[in-house]
Amino acid sequence: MSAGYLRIAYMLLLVPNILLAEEPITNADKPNIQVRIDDKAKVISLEARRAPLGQIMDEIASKTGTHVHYSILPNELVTAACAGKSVKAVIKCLLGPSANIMFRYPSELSKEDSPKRPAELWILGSSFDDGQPSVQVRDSSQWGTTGAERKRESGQTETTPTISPQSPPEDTYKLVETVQSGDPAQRANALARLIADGRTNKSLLRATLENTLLDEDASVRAQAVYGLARQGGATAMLQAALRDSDASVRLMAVDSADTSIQGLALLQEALTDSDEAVSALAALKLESLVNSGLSR
Amino acid sequence: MKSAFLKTMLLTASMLATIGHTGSASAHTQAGSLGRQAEATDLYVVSCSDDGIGPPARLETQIFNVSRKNVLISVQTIKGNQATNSTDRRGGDVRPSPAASNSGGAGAYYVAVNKAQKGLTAYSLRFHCITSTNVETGTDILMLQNQ
Repeated sequence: MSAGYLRIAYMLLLVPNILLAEEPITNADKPNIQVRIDDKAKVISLEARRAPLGQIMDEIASKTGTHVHYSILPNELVTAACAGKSVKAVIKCLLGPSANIMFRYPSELSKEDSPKRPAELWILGSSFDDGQPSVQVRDSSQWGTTGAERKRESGQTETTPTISPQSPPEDTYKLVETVQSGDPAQRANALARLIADGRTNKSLLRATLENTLLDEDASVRAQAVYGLARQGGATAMLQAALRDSDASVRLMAVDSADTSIQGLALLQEALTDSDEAVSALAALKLESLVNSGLSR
Repeated sequence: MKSAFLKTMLLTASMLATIGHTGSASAHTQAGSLGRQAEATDLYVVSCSDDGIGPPARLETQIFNVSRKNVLISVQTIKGNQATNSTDRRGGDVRPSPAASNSGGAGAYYVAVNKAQKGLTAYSLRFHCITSTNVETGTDILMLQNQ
């Protein structure tokens, strides 16, 4: 009698699980990602079906040689078809035009090379802060043959994409975003924090600094000059900064000049700068160097 | 003119090469600048240690506005629960600010340089780690922020 009740109770316990179980997984449902590079047609194409974005990014990285960095990506599975003449176009197609992405191209490679492949790219996090991708379902017809079709499959939960060991802390991404989109004072402060934070990925920092070297705001340019000078090998950049129209940038160039022959030449040149603070600092540094030498 | 410039450069370079100098500042001075914004702040860490002369008892700092502009420029030091401030009230003269002494002993001091008004400013920061017998001892500086 009691064994019969137990059997019934056990069966009842199974019922909800049976009702909630997903449909059997077939081969057609398995994640499928294909990245093809047609060097002749200068086209990179991506086809993904029910795949986590992290896996898609890894595949793009593997096929193109571009290092992809990210800290947060939407969890949902993605079905997409993208094609474009550059990695940038494909990534933008995949994540949507509002996705905040920064690219660094290898210096020895012209950006006109095709298909264009950045050395590294960073997917910045704010557009994903709400756990949703910035792009909505799109009609493939709007993209044409080099366009995209991307389907969100809401309700799917996947594990958070693994964070590359080289991924910088999330704060870094927020600072980089601020550098790109804040008001001038915020951008300069964010840049200063990035420079001061020893944890910042060097490549990301350099890319950010190089991108801000021609910023319209002088205080941002000055921070870029300082940051690049700290990384070394910035003689030509400092020489260019000394010809900046804004004295604060020239002042930072003088401030950042080292004791190399080129640095001394820069200080000598700055002695005749039209801004008194710039020339005064150059004189002070030259005097300080000479005094330092004499005292030893 | 070009020849004179080259001579000056070679002379300076050879002097520096001879003495093996690697920094832009003399032993205990740091040349620097502050940007146009009133809130521009440079931040350093000065480390006081016993380099064989004796254990440090305090850090003394002075700031010297080398621009001719009359911008109030100040230096603050912080270590533990002690802080100091010293201000150079006039630019372009030969007098630095009064010396401020932070008796924090050995270790790292945060040193901030800032100003009270807008305007580009060049300064010379003087810093010395001093023993209880008033002798200079191990002093190192590292810049954290340059605004």
